[in-house]
Amino acid sequence: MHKWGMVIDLDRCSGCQTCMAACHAENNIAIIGPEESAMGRTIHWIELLPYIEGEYPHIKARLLPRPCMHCEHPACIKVCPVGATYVNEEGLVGIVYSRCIGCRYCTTACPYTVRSFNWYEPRWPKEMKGSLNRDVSIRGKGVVEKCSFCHHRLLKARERAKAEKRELLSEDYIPACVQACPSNAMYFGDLNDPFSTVSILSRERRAFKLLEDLGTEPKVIYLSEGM
Amino acid sequence: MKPFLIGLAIGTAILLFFINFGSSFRPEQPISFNHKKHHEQGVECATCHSYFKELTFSGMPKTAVCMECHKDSITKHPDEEKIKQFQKNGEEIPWKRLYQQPDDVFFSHRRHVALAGMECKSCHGDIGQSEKPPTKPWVKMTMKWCMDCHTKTKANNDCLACHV
Ligand code: HEC
Ligand code: HEC
Ligand code: HEC
Ligand code: HEC
Ligand code: HEC
Repeated sequence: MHKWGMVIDLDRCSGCQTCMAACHAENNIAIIGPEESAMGRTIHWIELLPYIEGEYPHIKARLLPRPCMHCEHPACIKVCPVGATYVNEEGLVGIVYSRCIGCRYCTTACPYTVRSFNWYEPRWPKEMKGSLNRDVSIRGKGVVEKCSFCHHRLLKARERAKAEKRELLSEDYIPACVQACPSNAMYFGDLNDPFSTVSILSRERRAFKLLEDLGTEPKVIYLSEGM
Repeated sequence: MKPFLIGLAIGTAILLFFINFGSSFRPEQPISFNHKKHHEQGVECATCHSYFKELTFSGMPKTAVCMECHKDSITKHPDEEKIKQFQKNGEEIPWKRLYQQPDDVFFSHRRHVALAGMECKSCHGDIGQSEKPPTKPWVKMTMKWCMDCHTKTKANNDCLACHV
């Protein structure tokens, strides 16, 4: 059984936002207007969080790409009253949109604030209708969504492996952000395989996880900068 | 009291009429298509539903597909003329769908038909033998229906396998 995980090397990340753009296009993420955006209702499945490092006057402004952490012990699933979100055997934290009632307990419970609520019916400019991704559903008003590690790509990959009469290899499955990253700052693979790139990197000295002391056990591992 | 009772009776009658009307509504296909006759001519399913071997969906035939054989009149059936009308207006025939999953369900014909070797019959019944367009699906494709077969065949029943 695979255990999917991601490594993000902050030393290599240039903060160019290509991952965000790739994610938006891949996952049919709704676009909202400037007023709605000012209310904090923009949806991003991966976002660049700005933070300041060091003590004044020796400070550096940094950016940290933040997808869903796909925690082993997610805080979000415990609070869902209808069982619409869960962590599956391969370690993916999924949402079944048709079961979600939009109570937003999970958006509050997630310590990484990765979950977004759909405040509006999704709309796209007419010109973009044809370029929506058919493999990903359109989320309606009133449900919560978040990064899925592009799990629809896993479904396709399993089908491809089956067609080629072989087992699924971890190279078969790669999320859109990782694929798009122009500076090779992102890695994706099987954390259960001790020799996979992500496993090897996760044992590096630079490796750390966000808010590790909460016991959520994120499967997104960061490599710190400048050491 | 009497006018009230008459009013109630008329109201009930109108209500019943609408309920009846509603339940007898069926998807009427634009052309009375005959699967059986085409099957007997040896036309394969893939001629009209071209994608199930490669893609998730099967696809409904474009007017151009019908025209490959029906350019000249080959039957006495009045509906043949309708195909030509659609063709002349440059329109696709608006086939109604009986089987349609919600947007957030992932279903793949390729996976079931081409890779697992299942027959069309096991999910759509013997539609190849239908002489008129069926008015209701052979089976209601509920989640339970999918999952029962997946349990039997030891296929994946993880929510994320079917929900995207
Ligand atoms: C000559 C073209 C043609 C061929 C060959 C053909 N079909 Fe069809 N099929 C149609 C048309 C047109 C419809 C829509 C009208 C209807 O339901 O009869 C349809 C409808 C269907 C539907 C219902 C789809 C829905 O969502 O309502 C199924 C299932 C189907 N066909 C299966 C088959 C199978 C299985 C075969 C092979 C045994 C086959 N068809 C052969 C043209 C064809
Ligand atoms: C495992 C069950 C299953 C089998 C086997 C199956 N189908 Fe389907 N079929 C479905 C489901 C479910 C849908 C609805 C799909 C959707 O809405 O995404 C469907 C839809 C269709 C449609 C509607 C149009 C479309 O684009 O999908 C056609 C036509 C069709 N099937 C033809 C076939 C033919 C031909 C075969 C055999 C080669 C076949 N099916 C085998 C389950 C099945
Ligand atoms: C491969 C050739 C072929 C294709 C493609 C084809 N047909 Fe036919 N069709 C025939 C033949 C041959 C007959 C005559 C069968 C008979 O009379 O026994 C026929 C008969 C018919 C009839 C008369 C049926 C009846 O009950 O008498 C209709 C209506 C019809 N076709 C509609 C269509 C439509 C609509 C399409 C496109 C979805 C289509 N056909 C595609 C070959 C074809
Ligand atoms: C009659 C039996 C049957 C029915 C009905 C059926 N399936 Fe399946 N399904 C299978 C089998 C068998 C497999 C495994 C195929 C393989 O291993 O290649 C499968 C595989 C799948 C997979 C791939 C799972 C994976 O591991 O990636 C998906 C997704 C799926 N089915 C969805 C559906 C949906 C949605 C429905 C209902 C609309 C449905 N199936 C109805 C028999 C069925
Ligand atoms: C084998 C495929 C399959 C699996 C596995 C599956 N579903 Fe579904 N689910 C479906 C299909 C198909 C529908 C649409 C059924 C319909 O339109 O009647 C559906 C519809 C739903 C709906 C909305 C309609 C309803 O019945 O309330 C919910 C909620 C839902 N699924 C939740 C789940 C959850 C939670 C899981 C995991 C425990 C799950 N599903 C696993 C195929 C699946």
